[in-house]
Amino acid sequence: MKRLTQHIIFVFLPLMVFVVFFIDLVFLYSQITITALRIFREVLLVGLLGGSWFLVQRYFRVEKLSIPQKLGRLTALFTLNYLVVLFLKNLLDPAYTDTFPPEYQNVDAVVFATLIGMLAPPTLMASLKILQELIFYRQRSTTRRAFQLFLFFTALTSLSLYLTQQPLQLSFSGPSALNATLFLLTLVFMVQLAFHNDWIVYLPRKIKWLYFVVGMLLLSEIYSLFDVVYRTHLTAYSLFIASVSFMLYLFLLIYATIALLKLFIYLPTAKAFDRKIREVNSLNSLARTLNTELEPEKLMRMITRLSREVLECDSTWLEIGEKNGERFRTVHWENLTEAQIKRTPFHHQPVLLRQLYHQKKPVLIPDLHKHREYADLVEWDREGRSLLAVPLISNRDHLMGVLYALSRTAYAFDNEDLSLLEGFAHQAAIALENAQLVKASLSRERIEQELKIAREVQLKLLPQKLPEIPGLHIAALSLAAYEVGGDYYDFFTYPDGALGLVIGDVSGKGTSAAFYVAEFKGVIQTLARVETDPLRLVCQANRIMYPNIEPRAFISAIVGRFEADSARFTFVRAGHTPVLYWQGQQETLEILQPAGLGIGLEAGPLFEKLIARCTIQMAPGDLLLLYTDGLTEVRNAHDEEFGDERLLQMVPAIAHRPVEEAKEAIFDRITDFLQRKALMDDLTLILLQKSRRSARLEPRMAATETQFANKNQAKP
Amino acid sequence: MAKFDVNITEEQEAVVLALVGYLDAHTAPEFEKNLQRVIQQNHYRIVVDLEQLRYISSAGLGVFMGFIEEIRENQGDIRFCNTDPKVYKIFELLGFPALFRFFSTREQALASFQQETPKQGG
Repeated sequence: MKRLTQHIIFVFLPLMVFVVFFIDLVFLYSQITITALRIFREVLLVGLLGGSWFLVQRYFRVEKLSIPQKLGRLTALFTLNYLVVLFLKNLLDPAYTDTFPPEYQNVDAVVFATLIGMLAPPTLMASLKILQELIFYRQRSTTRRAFQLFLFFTALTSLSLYLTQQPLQLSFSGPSALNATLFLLTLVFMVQLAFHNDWIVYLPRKIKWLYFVVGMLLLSEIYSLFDVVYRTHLTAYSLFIASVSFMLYLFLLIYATIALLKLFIYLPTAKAFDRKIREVNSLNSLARTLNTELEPEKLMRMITRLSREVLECDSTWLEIGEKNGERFRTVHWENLTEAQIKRTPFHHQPVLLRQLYHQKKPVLIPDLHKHREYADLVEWDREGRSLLAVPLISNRDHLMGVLYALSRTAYAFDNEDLSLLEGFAHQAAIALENAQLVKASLSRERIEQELKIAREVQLKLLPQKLPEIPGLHIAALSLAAYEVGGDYYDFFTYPDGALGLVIGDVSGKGTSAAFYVAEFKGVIQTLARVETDPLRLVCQANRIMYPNIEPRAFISAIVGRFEADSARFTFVRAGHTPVLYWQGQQETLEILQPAGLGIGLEAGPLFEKLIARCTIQMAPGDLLLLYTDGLTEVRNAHDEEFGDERLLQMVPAIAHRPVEEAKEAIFDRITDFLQRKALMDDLTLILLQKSRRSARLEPRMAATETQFANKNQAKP
Repeated sequence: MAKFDVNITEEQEAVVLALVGYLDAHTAPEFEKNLQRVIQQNHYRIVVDLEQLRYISSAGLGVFMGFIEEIRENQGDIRFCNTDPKVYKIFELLGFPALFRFFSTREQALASFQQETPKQGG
């Protein structure tokens, strides 16, 4: 459809000009007057005006140009026009009658008028468009309306002039009265619009001087074009076109005159104004300030505060995206209440959602009260009138957050403010991203460091070598998970010489678990010097630990006692996983789970009431398995648990093998099951095996201990 | 992997927290926040429904221990119900049944609170 209109205009405009030219020639030579033909000619010329306006709107794009570029276009346009007209005037010698409207007296006049008639409308339309852009530089609510009324009255005056066929004069008698009234009304709007020249204020000082000089030349150009060249020729061509042109010329003259006057007035203060401009330019140095702050929290506060200072608006606030932009949270605000922040409607507002949050484009709403679609925003803050919102976009084109500015004055923000805040937001996003990266790497480093400490503490707390007990083979396996858990095992000697053993698991992970392990070890080692009974030992340990650890922390443990002479094993279970007991001669597996409560769960009375001893008489070939839940709760990549069953099924097959081999078999089975997946929790296993032969004949030891950093398994 | 969720419903007798998924060292802080909020609203009678809980680690058990003292000081309690046998085993190993009451259904757990109401009223 657009293309079609375009084709029609390209074909019809020259055609119209030719038809009019032909009609004029006929009128010139025949000296006859056909009213219908005259009206048809005028209609064609109105079409010519409309076509020019269309062409200008379509091909003369000035919206995106800067102010100097726009002014440059305007100057070029008129200089070109001036030169062409001068050239034509020297080439041709047109002659007209003295009547109104004047009539052609020779062919030169027809040619000259036609060319001027073709030249004037596009030139004027183009300059009108530039003027419109300049006028709308700082658009107020009434500006657009005034501009439309100006156009309307220009058309009305021209129509009236054409219909009355009278020259324009300020007389209020006869047919001129209507013309004069309409003209005066047009003039009012012209003058009002002519004062919309705020762009002058923001020009740099040197440019102001330059524009003043060039402006004077331009003004004289416009004036001479109008007065010397256009007046008679255009009037002879078409009264309507002449009238429209006259109005536009007048508007240009008035606008240029007032603009020059303003330039003149502003010249002395230009220096002070330059300083202000420099302040705005200090935005860059502002951004540099931002870049020196590495604490994200402080940086966000700084961004919010500085943006309010820069824009001199009522409130600003900063939203930051969380969980990969799923959710936005207001982190800092200036001059808003917490209640307001809690119920910001911005994420439900369709325009903002689309433009800001999806397309990551800035949003400028000059007056919230004007549009019904922003009713919810008005509801949120009745005093807020203009809203400016710019996205904070990260280096990888992610929407990091949104910076908002609100003013209680309508039209408080313009496009300059928008680009100012956008520039600021750009710098802020870079600074923020940097700060976040630094913080993330610092905290990662800290966590690594903490884990390293925890791992070292835990390693140092485990026995460096296994005890040598006649008639008993011992093997132990302890694997530390990446995020160290609280597994612990140890051997000690009771005052009466019996072997003591403890296996435990402190709740939680990381450094706190590691330090509780250290505390627990200290308590056990101390009590072991005076206690010979594991039950009494664990009860006292509970009484000591309970008030000394956080309420949420506790320790599950087994404390055992092995008497080499009688081969009797006694143990208590403080909430720990049960002991597996393989009886070699009967080939039976028993799960030993005497009653008992975790250490640190209860002050003492209940703990002591519940806890029970379990004593077994170990025969040659018997095997005891003590382990932590990390062993049975090992999970593989399919989220499958190793489970009690797998462990129980393994026992009969490995029980007759030397403990060290049995331990390796269990370790291999676990690694097979894991299939390179990292351990989630620590894993500890102790095997106690009664020698098949007489203890005295073979005091054999299995004093190895395996420490595996889980990382090694994660990578081939 | 370890997904966890808490569904909170307020019944007449108590607040019911239905736990879903895996409660381990990573999800325990989230559960702690939920429980904290319930207590801040002065709800001290709490039923924890374990029907959909697949796993609980020591850190998860620790959350209950962290609050139970405060709750009992305010004449409240945490009571468990609908425990999956595998999960119950973990509670049992540590001796939790000595510290907390377990019920087979939610109704029974709620009813246990209701029976206490007259005593509380005075």
